Amino acid sequence: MYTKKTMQCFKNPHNYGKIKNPSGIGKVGNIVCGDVMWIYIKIQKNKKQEIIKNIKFETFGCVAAIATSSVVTDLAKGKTIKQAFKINRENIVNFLGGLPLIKLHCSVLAIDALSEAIYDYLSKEKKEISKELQERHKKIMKEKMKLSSKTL
Amino acid sequence: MNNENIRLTKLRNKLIKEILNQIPYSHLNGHPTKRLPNNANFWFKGIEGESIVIHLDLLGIATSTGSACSSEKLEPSYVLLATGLRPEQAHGSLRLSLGKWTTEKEINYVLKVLPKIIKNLREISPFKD
Repeated sequence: MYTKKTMQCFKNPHNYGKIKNPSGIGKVGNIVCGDVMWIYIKIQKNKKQEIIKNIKFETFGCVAAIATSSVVTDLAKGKTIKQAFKINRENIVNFLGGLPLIKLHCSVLAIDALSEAIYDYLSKEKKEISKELQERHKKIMKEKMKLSSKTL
Repeated sequence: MNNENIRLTKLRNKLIKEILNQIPYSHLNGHPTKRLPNNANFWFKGIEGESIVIHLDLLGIATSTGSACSSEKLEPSYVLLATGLRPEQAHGSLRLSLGKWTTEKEINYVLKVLPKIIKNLREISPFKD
């Protein structure tokens, strides 16, 4: 059911753990539903660019949730925040050589966690946030609210 | 048949006792004694069941979980919920079933590998504390 690559990423995930004093944190998912992903980023500023110097994740979830967390952190590491924002769920799924249909939402969750970490960084720094990122943040927040009202 | 019940109950009790002893924040689901002789069911705080099942499977141990992730409908086991477990607890559940061919050696093997699997998954989890 899972590809060889997915199993490798699950058995030996990269970049798990916390970052002390992160530049941004993205927290998505809901423990009642069974998937929670937290992504921490540390940003290094050059003259022109902001680079994701370090990135780590903490995930409560299944094989797909752990594997997609590992992949998204690998894909985003060393990228500028603009490049990282362009990573999409197809990139993750392709990297893994596919995911079972019922597990595709895990790749969405990984992208959401990364976007939220970038959003958190930009809003803390009081920087301009692109319309696209604002929209994505709003959508994630709306889903969070919907889930928490459902589970109360 | 009665001998087999006694044998299974003894093995199962060892499994339950040792898992609860060796693994912090582990809990037995269901009644300690009023249960089938071949059934043991646990939940582990802060981690998800499918991950435990797959790690065990890679080591040749076949088990089951009531986690939503492993179900077709993405919903946790209604039986575990009916016993009073919260969904997040049911997600961290693991069922170990014994059979006619289960040996004490195999129970010892599970007891040897399971604590490390739980520990590793907790290191990845945001709910380790």
